[in-house]
Amino acid sequence: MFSGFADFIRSILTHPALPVILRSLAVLIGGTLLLKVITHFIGKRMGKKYSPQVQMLTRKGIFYTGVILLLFYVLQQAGVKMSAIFGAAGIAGIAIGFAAQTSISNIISGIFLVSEKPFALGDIISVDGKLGIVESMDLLSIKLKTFDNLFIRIPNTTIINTNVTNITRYPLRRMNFELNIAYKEDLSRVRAVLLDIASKNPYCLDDPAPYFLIKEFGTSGIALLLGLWFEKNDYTDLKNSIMTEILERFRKESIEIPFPHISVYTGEATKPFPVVSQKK
Amino acid sequence: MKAEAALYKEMITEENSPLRFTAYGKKFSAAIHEGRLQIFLHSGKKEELQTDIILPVRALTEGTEIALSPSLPDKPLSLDPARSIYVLAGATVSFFIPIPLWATLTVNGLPVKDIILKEFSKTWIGEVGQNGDLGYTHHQEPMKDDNALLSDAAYMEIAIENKSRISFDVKRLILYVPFTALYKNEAGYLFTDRQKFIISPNNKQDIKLMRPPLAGIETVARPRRKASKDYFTRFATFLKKVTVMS
Repeated sequence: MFSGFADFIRSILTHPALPVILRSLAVLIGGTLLLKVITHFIGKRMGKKYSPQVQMLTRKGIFYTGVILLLFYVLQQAGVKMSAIFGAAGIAGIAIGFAAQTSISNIISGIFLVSEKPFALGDIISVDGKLGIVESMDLLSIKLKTFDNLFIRIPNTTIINTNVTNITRYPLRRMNFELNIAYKEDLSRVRAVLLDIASKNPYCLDDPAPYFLIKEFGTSGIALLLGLWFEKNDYTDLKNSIMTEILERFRKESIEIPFPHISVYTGEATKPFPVVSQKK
Repeated sequence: MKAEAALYKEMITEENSPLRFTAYGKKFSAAIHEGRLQIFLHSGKKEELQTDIILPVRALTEGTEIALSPSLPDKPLSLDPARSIYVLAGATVSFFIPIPLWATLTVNGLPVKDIILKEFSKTWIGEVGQNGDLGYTHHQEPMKDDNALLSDAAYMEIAIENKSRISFDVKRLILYVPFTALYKNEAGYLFTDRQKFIISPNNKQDIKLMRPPLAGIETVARPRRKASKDYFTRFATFLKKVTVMS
């Protein structure tokens, strides 16, 4: 039994294909390691000059091209006819192309996204009403983390075909507050009060100056717009503080924020329909 | 402000806490409780927690040194004087601006945080929503005499040299406070680097921060930020945008 096993080992060791197999394995393992080192080195060299997405695409592109070349080399060494492989690859390519249409479309969209740079990792974006922080940008999709800690995967083609809002692209943002005040209020006093609130708020920038607009004479009151500039990271602090301050100050200054109401008239333009409550 | 008045140092142990002290005209208290050091700033009835740190065991046995040292605000100041500064063609205007001091809190020699002694409102220095830097608005009138400066500030000397043939009405100046060091002169007063705005004959503008000669002065705090190559060039263009040619 032992001699049988030794014969088997001997037959393997003396097999004419062994050197080819060993060489192929060495080429594959050594080549893959070398590719890893090269891509790592390239990644380091690209450093801060290129975005993480471009780095990732370049590294993966070089690595997979290298792996394919290595495989071709190994097959050639093994005596496989490359023309037959290429012929089969052509037919397989058509079949895979049909099957992987969506994936390829996503990959191409991903390349467009990387070149167009509509957003970067860490940006807050809104896609189709979905708001979140860009966690990763891969070949097929981008991954968002929403503020309520949900994970959203959006295919790259969707990003290309949809309106994307990058909320944190610019360092400054303007927060618009739409307010209604009663018709009896003095507009210039209300304007002065609002601008004073803005000037005292630590998150509201002095320059660019707050924007004040009398929007329209609405059904229940006069619609105003107050636009306050702030640094993009101060969104929550500004929103919470300014809402509280406006409400408190309006109460203090007796400025009325009207609620929707309807006056019913009985023919005379100036007198509303009398409503009398009678106790029995 | 005199440098001596701006430096506060004290050893604190669990036994002598809470420690109450006054520095920079403000009331503070420091206490060690269950291995944690808490420092509060008191203003009126309010007390604001400045720091809450866990101390190493050694600090608990040997005592903890807390120190407050003067520092400059962490962002550039946008000087908005009530009256604009008129600089005639070919003239140089010099004046002093008091820069309100902040304090750096150090615990056992390690800086812990900035204590904001003067709150500023924020402003944007640069193109709206694009390139620029966040700064603070500083409502202050230029002063001709450095002896008349406020007691809780360091002084910054400003010079505007107008080499052009047109007069300028400067309505806003950016003071690059984070890029300057804080020094103490022989008399013990605190001051910063000198900032010079140069308007060249072809109306190009340049900003220079000029370090004082080292004899007789002592550096109290090093600059917070190091300006990149294009920083001042970039902001010089903003100066251009805020000046009005007469």
